[in-house]
Amino acid sequence: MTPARVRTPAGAESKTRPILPGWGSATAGLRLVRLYVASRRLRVALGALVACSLVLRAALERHWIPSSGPLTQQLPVLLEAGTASVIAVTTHSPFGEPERATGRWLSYLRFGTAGALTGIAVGLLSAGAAAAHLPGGTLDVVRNVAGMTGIGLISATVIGGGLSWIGPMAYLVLSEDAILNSWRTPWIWPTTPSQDAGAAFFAALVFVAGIAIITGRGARQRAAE
Amino acid sequence: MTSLTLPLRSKSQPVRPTRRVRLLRLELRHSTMIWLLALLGALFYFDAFHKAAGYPPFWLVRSSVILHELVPDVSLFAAGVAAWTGSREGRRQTVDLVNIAARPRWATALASFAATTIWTLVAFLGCVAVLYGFTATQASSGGPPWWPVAAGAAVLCAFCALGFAAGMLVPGRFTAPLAALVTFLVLIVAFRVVLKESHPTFALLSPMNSVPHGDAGVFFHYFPDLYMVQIMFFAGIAVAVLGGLGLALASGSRIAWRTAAVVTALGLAAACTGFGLAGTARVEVNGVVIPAVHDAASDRPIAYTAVCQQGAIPVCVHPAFRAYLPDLVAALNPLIHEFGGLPGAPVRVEQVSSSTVAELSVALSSTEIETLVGTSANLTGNPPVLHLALTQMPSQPEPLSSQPLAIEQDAFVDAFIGPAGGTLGDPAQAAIEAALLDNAGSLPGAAAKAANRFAALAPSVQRAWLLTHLPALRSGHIALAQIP
Repeated sequence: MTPARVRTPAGAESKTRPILPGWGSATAGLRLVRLYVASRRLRVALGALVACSLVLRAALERHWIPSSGPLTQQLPVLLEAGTASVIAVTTHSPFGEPERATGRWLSYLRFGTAGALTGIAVGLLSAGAAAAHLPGGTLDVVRNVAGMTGIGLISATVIGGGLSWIGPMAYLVLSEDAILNSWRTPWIWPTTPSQDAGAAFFAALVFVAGIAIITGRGARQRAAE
Repeated sequence: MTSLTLPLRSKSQPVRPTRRVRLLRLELRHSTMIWLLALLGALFYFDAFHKAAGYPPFWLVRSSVILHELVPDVSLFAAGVAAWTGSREGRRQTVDLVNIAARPRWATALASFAATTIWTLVAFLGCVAVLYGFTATQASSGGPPWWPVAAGAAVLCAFCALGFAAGMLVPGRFTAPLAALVTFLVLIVAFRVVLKESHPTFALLSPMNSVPHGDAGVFFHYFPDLYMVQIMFFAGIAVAVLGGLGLALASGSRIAWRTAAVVTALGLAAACTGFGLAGTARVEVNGVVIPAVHDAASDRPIAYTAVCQQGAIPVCVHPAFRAYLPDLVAALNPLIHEFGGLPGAPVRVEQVSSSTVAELSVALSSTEIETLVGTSANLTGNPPVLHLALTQMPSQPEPLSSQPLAIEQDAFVDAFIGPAGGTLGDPAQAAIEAALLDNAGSLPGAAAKAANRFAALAPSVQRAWLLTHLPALRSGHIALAQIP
């Protein structure tokens, strides 16, 4: 919630806010989470993740995804990068320094939000592919979404939350090129089968690094944003 | 006491061009796109340039990466950054401040859009300059085709305009990534539609629509028909979207509103005309023909004097293939010696356009990539002359030990022994062809080797391997070397 949206009804007398419950109470915790969710526009993010899942469903039903060959991964990877971009953009804070200075629970909220959204994205994409043949299966979705989310979270700490979508999108372009040219490297995990331990390790490593950095530091605050 | 007469409406002050330039300069200096130039350059190097460098040094073949690789990559970021720029006032909640400023909001919005588009085009044209400069050092004939460059620029302007409009109308933090995502999605889905449809028309408007065959633009002029229609369609979209923004943003000024309406109408007319013309497209072997804009003169073949080298018999190629001639002679000589003295043996080998080889032209379609790249030959005339089409050449002549021209050897034997054009002969023909190729030192393909390896395994081992690897095999994740 931004200061500009705080409105007082015309003619209303200003009131003193009641004393808030202590930090330890469940009501305060819930209120904090609710405000954090509102400030990060998580409802819109969930809508975007649902939209990605619906597009995947439509792609599978309309046979835009070939059943075999190198192009099978092209569209799923695009949607996985899209979900990762959305998750990364939620890290942008409209409050900046005041929130950093006063938010005791900020690290936990960042960690919880990024982790929960990644889980929800995986769940929604898997649900979108339910009862249809998704090349690579759910394991591919878990690995790709987690890895690209890690890239997005690292981007957020480097270039800011608002533009953090650039990281997953740049990785998407590299991945699409690798898919079309049948390159195989664990660093470009969408090109490898889901059983590939090396690719899974690198994706997990990037995800853990992204979560750790965003939990500790938060997204970079740029004056231009 | 004196009274002063004042007009009800003050005279509008014309905006001096220097102020407009200053506004544009400010936007150019603060554009987010500047920070992406290095990233775009790196992606161009790893994607489009890398792919083009693997193609033979023919202008049209190498320029195909502009619309197939470069434009989609740049479009994605251009649309995203344009949406980010367009949503600036909305995100900062300064729309009211901008609305009451002296300059109309449409004018300031156009300056922001122009800055993003200019940087996008700078990145795009810089990449094209590198690509064409590199090709100029290797190509021996022809010149750079500019129609794909113009079409690419029009596509980028359209995606910038769409992204910018999305940002202005739906400002928010998610607009930019979703604009980028939708841009790439549209391009890929349109590409899928082109590949799936046997007679695509409207989907051809997508920049990712076809891959030219390996000798395109060498024997025949390339057809600019589709590029013209793409420019008309995408430039029309860009103009219509910007005009539509003017309609949405113009407040108070009747002149501004009328101007926006006229611009929108012109843009829509151009886009609809382009769309309609694409519906009349006809895919032919030398490119896409659109009757309304087609120039019949471009159907005529390009005159040339063949370059020949005397091996066992004369082998002649187009001057553009001069560099490959020694390799071709060396690859064909063992076969020519084997066939020498046999009835119907060729007395000369001549290169022909892939589009004039009957067997290949039947299968050729600019939308079927797998059949576009191939080699075919036929044996005609008395005395017999082998007409050989070379379409799958390496980027540079390679050592013969690497077997770069094994496909040409296959085509030669196919034409002499069995059905030409890569079609399967009967088992006896196939056996004799394999033996002759083996005599000539032509190694079987890597896939054939892998197939033999796998066939030699016990059925239980084959089944066990399939049980483990079938999903990966189906999704294209198994390399030849991984086959046991």
